[in-house]
Amino acid sequence: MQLYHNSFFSMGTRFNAVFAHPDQYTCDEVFQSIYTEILRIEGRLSYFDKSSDLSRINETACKQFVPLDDELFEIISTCVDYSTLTSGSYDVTMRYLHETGKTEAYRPKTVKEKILIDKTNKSLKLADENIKIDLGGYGKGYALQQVQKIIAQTKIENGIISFGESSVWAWGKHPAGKDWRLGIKDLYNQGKSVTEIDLYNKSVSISSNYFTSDDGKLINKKHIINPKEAAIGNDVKITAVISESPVQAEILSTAFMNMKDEEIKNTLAGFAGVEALLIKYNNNKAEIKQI
Amino acid sequence: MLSINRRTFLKRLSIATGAVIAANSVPWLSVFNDKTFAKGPNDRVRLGFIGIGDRGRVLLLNVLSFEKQLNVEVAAICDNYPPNYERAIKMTGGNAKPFKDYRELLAMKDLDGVIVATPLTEHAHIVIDALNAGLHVFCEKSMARTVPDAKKMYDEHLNAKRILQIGHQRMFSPIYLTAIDRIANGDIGQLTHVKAYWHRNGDWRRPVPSGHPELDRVINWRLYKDLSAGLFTELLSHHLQVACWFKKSFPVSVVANGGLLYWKKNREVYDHISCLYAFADDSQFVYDSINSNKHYGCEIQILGSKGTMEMEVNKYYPEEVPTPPGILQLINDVENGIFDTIPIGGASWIPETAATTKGSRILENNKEDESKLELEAFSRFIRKGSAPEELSVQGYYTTVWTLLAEQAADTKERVVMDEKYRI
Repeated sequence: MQLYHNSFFSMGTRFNAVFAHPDQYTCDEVFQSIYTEILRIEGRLSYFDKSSDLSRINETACKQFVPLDDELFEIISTCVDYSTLTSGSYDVTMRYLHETGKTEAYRPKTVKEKILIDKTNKSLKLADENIKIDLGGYGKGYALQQVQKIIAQTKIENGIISFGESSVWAWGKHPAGKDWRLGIKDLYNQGKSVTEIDLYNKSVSISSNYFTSDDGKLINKKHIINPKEAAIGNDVKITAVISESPVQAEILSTAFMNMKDEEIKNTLAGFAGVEALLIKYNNNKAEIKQI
Repeated sequence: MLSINRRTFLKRLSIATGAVIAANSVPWLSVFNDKTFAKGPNDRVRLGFIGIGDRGRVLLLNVLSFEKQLNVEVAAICDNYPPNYERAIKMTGGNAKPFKDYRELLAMKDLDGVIVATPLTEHAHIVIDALNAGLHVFCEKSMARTVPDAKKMYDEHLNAKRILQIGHQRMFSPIYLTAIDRIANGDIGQLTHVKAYWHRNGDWRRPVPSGHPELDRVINWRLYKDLSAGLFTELLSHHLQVACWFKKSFPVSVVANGGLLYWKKNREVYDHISCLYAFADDSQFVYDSINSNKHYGCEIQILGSKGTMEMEVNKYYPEEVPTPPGILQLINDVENGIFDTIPIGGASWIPETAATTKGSRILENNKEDESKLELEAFSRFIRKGSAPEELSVQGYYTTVWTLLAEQAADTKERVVMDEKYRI
């Protein structure tokens, strides 16, 4: 079986597609559709691109209600709803603390208090000028969801997509005939896996307070802040959430970084068919817990 | 990342890594390593300026900035438009001998070279007169309003055995020179395509003193077809020269279109043009320029099989994304019929530098002014008595193919160069 492989940069990381399909021309056509769609999403949702739709909302919505189109309304409503479903552990408004480091005066508010949504008019208002929406813990999941829709229209029955290695969706079978088996990389032993996950028409999102490069270097960009405590996690841990929905996996893996084990268990009980792994490092050794 | 220190940069390009490049693409750079000139009046390079409007003023300022350092003297200035004439006298502190008639300036006995920055139709006869007077010439681009005039200028420079340097300043830009170096080193793979555009939103018209309508053609010469080819000679020529230089060849044919779409009043030259040049290797240079929208600005894109360079914004984008080791292993496993774990899931991958995903600078920390460097080179060439012929050749063929594009747009025909203009 000949594999088709192609890649591009997006959302600050790399996107890799592998299709197990004999027609390379078809694969390339599909890949181009995916590339275009993900660049479109990035152009809408980027926090850093000052011309993005999200930046326009962040710039203007503290003064007045801003109307949203269907896609943006759906995206932001989903984020607000998941904040409630995770008891506030998923919060897309923590960018201000990340940028300013002003945690002393921080007073927790619910996301619903910070992002005011008018469902009737499909519009939103941000509670004050310090509230900014950052969809960093959402975008790759949404991108994979859109990829799922594109693939569903094609004859490519088997493949795997890796978005930055932390968001992976696999469908169909490995060409050798079994489910796609994914290794979760050991942060302290390059080339080794701490555990394995079998994926069949499922996605996995892996969150960590660290980023990594190909030479195994760990970088803590302090990008995950616990909304309840305004605390930046320094302990080395990974949460992995497996779900049919890449969006759900992306959101829950981010939220679970801010939750205690028992909270994760209770939250997970509300989501049928979703699994989670919690990997904590103690003296550079991984302790794995399936929840 | 490349960072620039002027001396090391020039040395690196002209001597070290650039041994091959210097010989083929940038032979004019080695002159910057010449430090043998004396500081006394006997070794002073004496220059005259003819035409000191907007562009001439910039050139004059640049030469004044290195007069002492390089033992150069602006000995004479000439402009027949009174405001420019008076301004040039002030700029030179009254030290340069002023003229209103260039022929009187050329009659000076002790000049070494002249810098010509007059309106386009004045170039040919002034340059030819200057060469005949035994002077080296730096002439702003484009060379001439007609192809025969450009040929006469080029031939006269050979006959007179004097330098004829045409002001294509990008040939002296550290960013462009670094790009040439990096392309030679394979950074973009095979250079397959060049695309450029220059978009502005304005009528290109300069104010004329009230009560003096007769000055309109003097000041707004770029808008009148007998005086200028408009967007062809004023803008296209910049990027066409870069395309030819980077591709190491000149076109074999051109098709073009042009029209007066938006600024229809008081203007004869097109306000939007597009050109498609073909080269002998079947590659192309695609260009357009318009005066009714500025959103995309000005850019020349150098496209290769392994990367892209956006020259005007100093950006390089690799075509390839580093493949995750896990994906490489998967591909290898499948090729060998093996089922195994794909070791890919983990903390988000980020590149060593954010520039990897957003493009990186072709050259870091460039502080050099390319117009100043080209004039500095001219003064050094004069002292040496010669300049690399490629400088004249680039200027000549760029002008020829710029004017042939205008012809293609006017006639709606594919145009090739008459063999009598081959040099």
